[in-house]
Amino acid sequence: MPDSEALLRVEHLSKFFPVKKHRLFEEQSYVHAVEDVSFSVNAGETLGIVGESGSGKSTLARTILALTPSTSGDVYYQGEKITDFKVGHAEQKRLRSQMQMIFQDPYASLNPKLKIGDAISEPMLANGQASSRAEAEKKTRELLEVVGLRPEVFDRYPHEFSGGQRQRIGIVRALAVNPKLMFCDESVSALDVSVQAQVLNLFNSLKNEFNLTYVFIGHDLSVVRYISDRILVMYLGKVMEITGYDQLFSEKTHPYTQALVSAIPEPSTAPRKNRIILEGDIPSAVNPPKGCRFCQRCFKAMPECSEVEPEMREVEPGHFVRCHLYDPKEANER
Amino acid sequence: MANVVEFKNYSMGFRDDDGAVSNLLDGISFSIEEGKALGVVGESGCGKSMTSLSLMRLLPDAAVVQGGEILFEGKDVLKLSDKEMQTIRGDRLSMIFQEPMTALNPVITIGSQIGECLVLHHPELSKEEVRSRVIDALDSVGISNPERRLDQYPHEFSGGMRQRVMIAMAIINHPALLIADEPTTALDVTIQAQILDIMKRLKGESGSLLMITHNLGIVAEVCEEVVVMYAGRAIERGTLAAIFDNPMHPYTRGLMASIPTMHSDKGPLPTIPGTVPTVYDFKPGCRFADRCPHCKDICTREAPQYRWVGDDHIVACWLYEGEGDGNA
Amino acid sequence: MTRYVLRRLGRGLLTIFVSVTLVFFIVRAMPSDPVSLMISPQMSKAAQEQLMHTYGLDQPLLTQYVLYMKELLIGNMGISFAKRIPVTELIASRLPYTLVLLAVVMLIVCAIGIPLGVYAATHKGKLADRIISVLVTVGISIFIPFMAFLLLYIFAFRLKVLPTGGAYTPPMKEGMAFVADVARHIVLPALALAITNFANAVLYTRNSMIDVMHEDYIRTARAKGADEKRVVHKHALNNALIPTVTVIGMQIGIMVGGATVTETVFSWPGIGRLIYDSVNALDYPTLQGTFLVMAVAVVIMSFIVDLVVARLDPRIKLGD
Repeated sequence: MPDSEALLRVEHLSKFFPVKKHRLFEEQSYVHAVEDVSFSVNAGETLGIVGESGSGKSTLARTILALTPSTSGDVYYQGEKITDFKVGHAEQKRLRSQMQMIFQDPYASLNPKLKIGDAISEPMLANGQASSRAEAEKKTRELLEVVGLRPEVFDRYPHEFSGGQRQRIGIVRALAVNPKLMFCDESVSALDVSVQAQVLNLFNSLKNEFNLTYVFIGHDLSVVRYISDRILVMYLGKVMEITGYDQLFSEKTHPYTQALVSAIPEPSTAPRKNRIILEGDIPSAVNPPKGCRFCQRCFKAMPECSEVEPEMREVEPGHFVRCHLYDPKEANER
Repeated sequence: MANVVEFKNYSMGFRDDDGAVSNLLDGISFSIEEGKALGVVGESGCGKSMTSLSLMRLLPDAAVVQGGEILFEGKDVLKLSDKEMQTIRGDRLSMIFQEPMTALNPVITIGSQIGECLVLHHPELSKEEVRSRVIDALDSVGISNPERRLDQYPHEFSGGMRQRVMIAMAIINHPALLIADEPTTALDVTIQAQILDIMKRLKGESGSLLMITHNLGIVAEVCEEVVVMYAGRAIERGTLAAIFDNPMHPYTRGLMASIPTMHSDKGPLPTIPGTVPTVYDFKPGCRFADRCPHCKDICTREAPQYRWVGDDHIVACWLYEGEGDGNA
Repeated sequence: MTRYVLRRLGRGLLTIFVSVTLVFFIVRAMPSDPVSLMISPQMSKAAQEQLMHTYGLDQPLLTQYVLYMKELLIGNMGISFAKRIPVTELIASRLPYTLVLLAVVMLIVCAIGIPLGVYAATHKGKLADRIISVLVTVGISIFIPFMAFLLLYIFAFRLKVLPTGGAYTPPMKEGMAFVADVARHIVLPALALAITNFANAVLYTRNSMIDVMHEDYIRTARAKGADEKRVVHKHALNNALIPTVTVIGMQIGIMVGGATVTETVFSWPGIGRLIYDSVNALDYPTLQGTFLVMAVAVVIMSFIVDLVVARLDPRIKLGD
């Protein structure tokens, strides 16, 4: 779906990691962390990326942000090609401030010896978001209040805060450089349930206040569904499905997505129906199965699934699925 | 029906380096009937893991028992000798832990780690009998090729498979009570579904289950009864239906509402303000008082008593004073 | 496995080759001339040249090196300048004494050091552990010659219960009497040599044991109903020994040639003492020989350590 308005567009992006060889003349094998991934993110929307371990969802974000070089494919931001951030120095600086990443544990990325306020206002000065130290400090205090922290936090150190507060500090630090596109990588996964809801609400209110666009990466489908407009389901490095959040229960979803939905234990006493329990473990991404990535565990697998990799198909408006179940009838008969 | 385990007004805390003792668990009371599955839910630091470790008598060195009783099959485990405790652990009472990656000994084969439970509690069994019972146990938790996998080491198993091994180890002696402490938290969603499926299946065959988790969904899936813990206190308990369909404590209500589910609408999530307190933040009175929307004067002064609010529903909250059948 | 052994062998030979070469040139860079020590002024010029020629010292340095390596390949380490007998013979007569000394030291380290470390770890923070920890710190930091002289002073001069030096009291006795005599002589050098290694072994065992006792699988073992003895011996010890074995093994390799000070103080006729004598006599061939033995010992020990560690830890696959 080439989209002229897309803020971010990813085309056939791949990232392979070489596996360490044990013998000199062994054939080099690769971890297919991200393979042939294409999607776009429109300005103002939240795109959720959901997947289990080994799905490549974090590697995808890191490759887009040029934190690790891509193997092939292209990334476009506001229509311009920015693959691996191979752009001029000034442009690179602009990208680095407009595209921000928020991690699972922001504590790991905060310098323990630096006061919170300094950690936030320094990048503001360096990136030109503030012209003087006083202005940076004022803006930082304002932002701290926006995310629900008291301005006194400015003079304190990272270790003095709880998980939820640290996540708010991580958000302030990202906000400080006027971002347009935020990548949230498992940003609420480590938080307690009661705090997780606060941070999710904060993400939503900041989105309106600062005109942000989110790419929200997570393993918990109910959280990703809640915050996202569209959802991209990944399995073993490949996109299996791109769907609107309200189409998750559609008849035409990918069997893997159906299994993911069914696997979530719902906190209610309503009786559960047609529970799908997948067999086996998630295979290794080193030598992914031929044909469909999911064929070994799929409960609807057909003979062709282990032979031919299905194409991504639009099964409903705005709903794309990579599965032979939805191949056009003629194609099957031929 | 007889109770397998009963916590009676149990309290414990920690001694810090200076010798000062701070209280964590405060007057915990609940029981599990034979064959029933009870879930203990709460957020980090609420003391749910310390509750299970107290029952196993595997508390860390700094822990101090401050009172009460923990009856297991009629005996107070707090009064048993180490030797008596060892004969119960792994036989009548067994436990599965959160981290399958580190809970197995890396230098001992899977087969002899599982077999050890039999060797310790049934020394009369022959080598062949132990081996064949270990194979049966591995088979029952869905590990294919058990004869071959028996002689492998933990590093040759995935996280999900290791958790199956832990379950096989825990159930091989058909314990009266199986404790599972966050058994699926470290696993992927589809693997979690497999493990929960095994646990539900085994529940029918063996004794009672004590499920410790932060995930209300898992409780709804596996358990019949629920204890909600907050800051070291069991603030509400009852049947699954009572707690999930009619939560009474403001914390339980807030917790239930704040979880996004597959059917939540997109509006702002209801939240509980503030953060989860740690042992050092506990104040007199109700420990939830400073986050509670219904906080009254008395809440900050005096801890609420347990109160029956239904046939199978107990809550500790000042809101319900004067209702129901009085103190429990 | 065969691949692994072959690769290890290749790497070991390379190590030995490099060490032999280095030693060859370093020895010759010493600011003194062995000929002047061997030759008395009364000797005739012709006799002097004859002697130089016999030992090959009249050749250019590189030729000497090539000659030496050639001879080494067929097992000839040359003739000792000082003793005028083949170095091979000289080393063969000394090596058993060093090996016996080492064996006793290792026995003390393994049979007492490791259990003591385990004991300290399982009684962490108690009085016994604190006393052990203090003694271990003293043991590690003590200056070995000082320890050696202290032992000599107390047991040989004051109490007169043990001999002052040598491996036996001449004349050499036969059979069990000889063994008993050597045993009496070995006590002091073994003690002096053991002290640092012993302290290291206790410290390593204690620390890695304490780490292991906090592992999740120890809690699992307790949850199964294992008693403390079983938890320590079956579940903790194997895991804790993995780092300890590496440290002890490498120490043995180094000690084959490294007991110079102790052997000299106690006149113990081993390799260490031989090194001391050879340095004094500028005995190039013997020095080279002893360092070769040391290099071989280190290579062999690191191989053995790898095998033992692989045996203890199934996660390590030889050949990777």
